[in-house]
Amino acid sequence: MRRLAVALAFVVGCHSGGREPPPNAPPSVAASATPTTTRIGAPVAFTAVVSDPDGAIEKVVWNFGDGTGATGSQPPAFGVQHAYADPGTFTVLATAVDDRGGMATDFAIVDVLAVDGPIITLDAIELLGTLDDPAVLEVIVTVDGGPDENVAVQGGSFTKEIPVSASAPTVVEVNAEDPYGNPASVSLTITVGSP
Amino acid sequence: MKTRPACSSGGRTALFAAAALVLAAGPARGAFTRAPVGELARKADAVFQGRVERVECFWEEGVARLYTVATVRVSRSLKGTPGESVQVRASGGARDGLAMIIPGGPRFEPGMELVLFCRRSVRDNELRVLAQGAGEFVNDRGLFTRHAARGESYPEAEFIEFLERACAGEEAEPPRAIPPAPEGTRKAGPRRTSVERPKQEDPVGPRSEAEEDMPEKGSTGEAAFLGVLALIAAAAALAALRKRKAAILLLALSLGFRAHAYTRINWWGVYVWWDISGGEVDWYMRQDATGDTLRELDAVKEGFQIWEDIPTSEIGFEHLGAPAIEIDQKDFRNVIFFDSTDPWGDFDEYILALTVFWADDVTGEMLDADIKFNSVYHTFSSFGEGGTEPIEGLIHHEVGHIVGLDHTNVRTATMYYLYSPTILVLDQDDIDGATAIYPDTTPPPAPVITTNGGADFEQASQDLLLQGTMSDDTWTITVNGSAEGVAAFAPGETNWSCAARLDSSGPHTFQVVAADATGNESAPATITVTLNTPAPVATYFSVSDATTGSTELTDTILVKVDAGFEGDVTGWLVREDPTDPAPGEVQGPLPTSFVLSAGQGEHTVYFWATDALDNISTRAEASIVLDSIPPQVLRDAETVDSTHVVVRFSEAVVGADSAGAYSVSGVASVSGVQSLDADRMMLTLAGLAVGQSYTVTVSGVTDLTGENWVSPPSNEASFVAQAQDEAYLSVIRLTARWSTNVTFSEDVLGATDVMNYRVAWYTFDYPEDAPAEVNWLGGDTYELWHVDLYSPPHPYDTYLLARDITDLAGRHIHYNEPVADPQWYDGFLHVDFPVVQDYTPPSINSFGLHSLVDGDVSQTRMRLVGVRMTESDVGGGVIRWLLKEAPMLPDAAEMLLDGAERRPVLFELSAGAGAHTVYAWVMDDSYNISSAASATITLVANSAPTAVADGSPLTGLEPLDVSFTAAGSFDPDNDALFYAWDFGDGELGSGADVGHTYTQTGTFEVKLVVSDGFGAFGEDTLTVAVGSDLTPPELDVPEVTLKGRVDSALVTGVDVSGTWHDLVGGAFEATVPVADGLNQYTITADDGLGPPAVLNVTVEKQR
Repeated sequence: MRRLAVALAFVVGCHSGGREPPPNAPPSVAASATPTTTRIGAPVAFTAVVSDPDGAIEKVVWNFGDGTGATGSQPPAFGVQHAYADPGTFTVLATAVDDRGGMATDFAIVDVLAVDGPIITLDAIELLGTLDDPAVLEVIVTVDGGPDENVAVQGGSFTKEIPVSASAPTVVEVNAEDPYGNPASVSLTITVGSP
Repeated sequence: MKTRPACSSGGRTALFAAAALVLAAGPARGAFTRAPVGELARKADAVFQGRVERVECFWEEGVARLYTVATVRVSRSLKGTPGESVQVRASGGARDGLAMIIPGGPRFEPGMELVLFCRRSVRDNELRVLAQGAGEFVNDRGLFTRHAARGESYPEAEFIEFLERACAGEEAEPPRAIPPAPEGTRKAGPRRTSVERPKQEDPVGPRSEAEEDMPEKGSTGEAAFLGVLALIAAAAALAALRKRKAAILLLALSLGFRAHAYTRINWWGVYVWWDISGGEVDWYMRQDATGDTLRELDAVKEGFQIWEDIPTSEIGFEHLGAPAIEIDQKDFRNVIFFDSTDPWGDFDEYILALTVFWADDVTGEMLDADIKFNSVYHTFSSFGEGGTEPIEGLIHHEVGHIVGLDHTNVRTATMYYLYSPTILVLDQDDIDGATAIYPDTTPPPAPVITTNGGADFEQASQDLLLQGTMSDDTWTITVNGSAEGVAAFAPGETNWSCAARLDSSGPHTFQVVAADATGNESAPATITVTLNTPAPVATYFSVSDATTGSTELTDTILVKVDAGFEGDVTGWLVREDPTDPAPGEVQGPLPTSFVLSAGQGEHTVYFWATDALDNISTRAEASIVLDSIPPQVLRDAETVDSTHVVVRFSEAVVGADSAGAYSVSGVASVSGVQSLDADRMMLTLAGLAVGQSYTVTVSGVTDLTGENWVSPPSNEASFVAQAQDEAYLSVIRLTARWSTNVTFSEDVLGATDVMNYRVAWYTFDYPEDAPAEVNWLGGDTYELWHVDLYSPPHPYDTYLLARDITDLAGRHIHYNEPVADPQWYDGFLHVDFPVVQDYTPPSINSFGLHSLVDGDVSQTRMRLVGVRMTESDVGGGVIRWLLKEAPMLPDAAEMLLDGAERRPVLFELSAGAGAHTVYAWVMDDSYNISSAASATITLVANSAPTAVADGSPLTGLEPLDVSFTAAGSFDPDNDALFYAWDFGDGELGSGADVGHTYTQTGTFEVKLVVSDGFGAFGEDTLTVAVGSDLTPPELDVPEVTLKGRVDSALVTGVDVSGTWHDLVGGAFEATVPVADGLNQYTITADDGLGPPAVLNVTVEKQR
């Protein structure tokens, strides 16, 4: 009886082996990074172009080459973002996995430079003013309520450089008076800040 | 057109040409430099003289070959023991309607008397002629002529005598060969007489026997040979550059002077020829895979190619591959091969290669031609490497036989019967031969016109350039039947161009025809060109008064016209009629003057220009106003004497030269009028009473317009009659070295003519004189200038010659006073006058300097000092002064350079406190310079004052009264100060305190100058602003400049609200507009490595 069972199992095994589904065709993947040269802390976008001849891509597993990784599951690009903490050249592996477990891998290279991002500093604003009355020889400039400064008017125009800071708005008052006592003024409120 | 394979190997040809130059002459190729008669005699087995008795031709057993056996009755045995009758065997012959021919081989004819050099063949023990036809000498009227050599002849007696000695083994001098007879005297070659044959036309070429009878025009002598060698070398070089046509053309040009000498292969009167109506002549040669054989095949191909490349000949060849069998039999395969077996005994050491061919015995059509190289006795290779025989020259020659050419006696020809390895290019003789047999009758294709894509077109320029392409066998291009304008092109080029000039608008049709070297003309290519040249365009045009040049008004109807037109102007028309002219009316040059129609007012003159194509410009016009101002008579007439008076008009007049135009109060008639100028008339009157006043009334006189009349009250002139007098030269006075003045007693004529004066003097009894310029000084005084009266001095007999100077009445002048007997000298009035003999320098009587401010004569605080000087001169007076602080005596030029002819009253001392000595000189008009006078004055140091200006108010509405004060000014020397103000509005003022009212708005620069009276000054300025209105001033900050930094080495600039600004040293400056209200600016810096940095700046403006 046992012999029979074994023999039967063999027969069944043979039978089922002959009926296996067709082999899974592997997917293909092409990985890209944007940008490919970056700096520490700046986000890099990784996207993949994937296809599978006999099924669908389930996910792309990303290995960022710095010991971290992520899984992109959103077709079509299965993209992820990653910011590097250290400089160096990193090989990023993208492994596409299809719905039957078939896999394909591509890589992208990212150069991370040890540089800081640019920092913009606004030091000053120079006023380029005009005054149409030739009898007015100077204007008075007051910054943030400070002392009056006399600024000469030449040929109908004047300039005055105002230091500015990012911490607080700078308020500039410009006043003039013609010989007859007619006043004129203009005020500028300057605000500096990152978005 | 014959098809032409591409040149097989240009590089090879070059190497070949170079190699050929160093090759020594090798053995003969059926040719005979190396077969001199003495040597033949030594090497022959049998030499004999005899007469051909019988000629029989047989088929060779087993192969398609013929051989001929000639039976010769021996009349003189010279070597060997031939016996009374000898049979001589030779390949070739004629039988069964076929002829097998070996060019250069022996030929036999019954009755022919000859001397044969024979050798018994080891093959069949039969006698064969040594060296083929070179061993056959035929008796032609007492001359033994070498058969194959076309003319190398020996007189019979000397020839036989020499042979007897040579054959006996004696040393003997060969007889002198008689040079070939002139071409015209030689016959076409042996004619078979034993066989009756109907006379035939040359089956291919138009030429028959007549060609052989043409006299030779040129020389084939040594000089000509050397001359062409250089050209051949050049041709070989051209051949190396694949310029086959050029090479051939060069030869054709250089050798073209010579009449033909070539000979066609002639089989007993029948010319041989290939039927090429079916295309090219095919040939076969083995082509082994080894490199050597390939090179040999290439060499042979080259041999065919040079004949194929003859532009005027249509024959072509094609290599079809390897032959089935390499044998020179009639197998209708033209085989070229290296024969190392010689089964028929055709070779001996004198033979390099043989051409064996078959022809129809009756028509001469060639059926088969084979070339076999004598590999039994020689080794061959391309270029003759390693001492072997070069294939190249040989194959040229042998292919020439295939073409149908026999040997020529042109030494530079490939077909020359003597072999020369240096002849590598076809001679014109060879070309002529090939051309005669196979003339190129196919015209080239029509040329292609590429100008404007070949389509008809229009153009503006008269110059036309047609261009196009043509086939490479085009030798000439003609346009409308002429080669004029066609650019030269090298043979083989495929581009042509032709420059032409169009002489009318057309349309012009051009027919372009190509012709090949033979002269066959293509169908024409046609293009039509039409000229659309723009008409000339006027660029400037004017009408002006011919006399004054004024463009506004003229008194005369004669005006000057001027105009310029763009374009090739060939004709002009100027007239007052504005109607557009017909083409023929616009012609001739632009007139320089033009006669206006009469009538006052504006006259418009119209201009047209035309070009050579009758394109007439648009009309240009210019106007001028004809004068409407009437002439007047000047109130006072000039009295000449008791019978002449001059009436002057205000302008040139018409009618004033008529006596009827004048009436004089109290005088019956005006007996004559002489026109002195256009506006000055001298009247001759009778019956005037001296001292009496008269009035002349003028009538009927107009100005040049003809419309403005002299009319009352301006038509009267009055005069007082004067006593009869004569003009005289009243004063001659030397005023300076270079000039003298001449004054006449009254107005004269001719006094301004330089030719009417000579200033003369005697030098060693010889009169010299000098021309002078004449300056009219006004009135009746003239200055003769450029008369050198100074050097050398002329102490005596200086005189003035004057002639042709008359008073207004035409009487010649006299000297000083009316004299009865004026001195005349050669037509001149001779006037002595004294020259002031002034060698005495002037003297300075007193000289002193004084301060201009304090009168101190010894010292000053000003550098500018006054000069006091008195001087005297015994002659004409002092004319120049010079003051300077150096005591060196000046020369006259320096005195002149001193400049002003004014007496010096001021002198500026050099800088520096202390004593200054000033020296003075004066010069008189005879250039005598005084001795120096000097004066000393001390310059005391002076300090400049300081000016301090102030005023109040300095701003305000106009009119603005400002009080100025210079009270703050001061002087370190405590000198009294003088104040001068410039108020900046064009007004000046003076004084320490001064007021001024500004009546204009604006900003004014006020300048105060204070002086201390000693030449030192101080300045100060003030600004006064005068307002203009009651409204508040307009104050605004329309823009600001953002100034900042970016600290990243990777960022080169920032974007400020869409505008790029480069960083300079890491900093940026961006000027941005500021509107009322809120303004936002975004500064972006991107290093490309990640998100850009952004800084927002807002400016809120309130007014």
